[in-house]
Amino acid sequence: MKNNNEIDLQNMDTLIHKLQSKDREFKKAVGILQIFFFVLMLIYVVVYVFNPDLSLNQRIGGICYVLAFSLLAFHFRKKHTKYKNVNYSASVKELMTEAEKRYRFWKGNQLISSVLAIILLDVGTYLILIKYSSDKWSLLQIFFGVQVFYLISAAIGFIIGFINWKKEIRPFWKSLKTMLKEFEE
Amino acid sequence: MSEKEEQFKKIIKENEQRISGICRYYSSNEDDHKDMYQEVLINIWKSLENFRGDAQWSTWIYRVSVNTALGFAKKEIRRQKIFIKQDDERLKDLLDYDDCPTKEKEIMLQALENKINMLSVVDKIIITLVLESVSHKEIASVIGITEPNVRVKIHRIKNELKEMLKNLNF
Repeated sequence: MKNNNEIDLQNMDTLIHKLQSKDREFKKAVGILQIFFFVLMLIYVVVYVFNPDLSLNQRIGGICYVLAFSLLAFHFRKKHTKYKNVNYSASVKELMTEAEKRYRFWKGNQLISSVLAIILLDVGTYLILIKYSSDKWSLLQIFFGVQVFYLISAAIGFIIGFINWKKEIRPFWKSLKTMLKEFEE
Repeated sequence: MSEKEEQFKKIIKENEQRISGICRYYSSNEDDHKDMYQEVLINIWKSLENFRGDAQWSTWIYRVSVNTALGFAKKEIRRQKIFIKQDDERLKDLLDYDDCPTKEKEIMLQALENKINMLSVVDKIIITLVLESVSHKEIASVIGITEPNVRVKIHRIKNELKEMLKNLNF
């Protein structure tokens, strides 16, 4: 066993360089992602908010879209950073408690962000589609059509998410819960 | 050389044995040991900024090593099985058993290893840290429970293991 460590220490410079380059890559990736979302937001603002051909309803709808995408982007960035920056130097109990929270199916903030984003998209879509109301499609029909579309989409997303969580994460999450109980024994 | 790099090298040099000691209990072979050792180094590097000075460096190193070995920060709980080595004199001191011929010792160590692996994860962590001669205060800080709780748990584990050895006539 000692030999292994000696080899590791001899190769430490290589390891440090790899780690430093990973740090740089991570910072670069986060930077690129931020620029990407910023550009996307600008495009949406130009296309849906400042476009002179659009009505006021469509502009408000565009703002709803921009807000929804910004909210989702912010949420995913926060989640990514949280997963990436696990604090291994916390006590075992702290780390386990954090992991248990991270792998729950429903997380408070995630639920609020998702519901808020769906509501914003729903309102945005309705406002954008208002101009298409005619004798064939009444405002009420458009309203219900949008609700049905988003309800079905949310339900499909929920079912896929739950099945995936149940299959991939639930066993791990359950064992974390069992282990946390062991601290109290 | 950056300040982080310098600090990292110093910490690893000073704590090499501690890291290796913990990895030893959670790896079945040398390759596994080497991989885990490297993984601990990576996590030490990643966590360096989180050192707030509220614990000793040794405690901090044990935390990173144990947390890495258990792997529950990721989406898998692996290496929960711990491995007892034949030459573990500390185990002998801890459980106070008599020396016996190699063949019988092998059987006894195997039985002990099986029994230890039936303990809860927390108890297994405690055993590895006790075998590494870590103080009760440090164990409490690594695990995140109180010192009296650690003492109670150690007492219970020792009794359980001694009882098992008694039943096997060792």
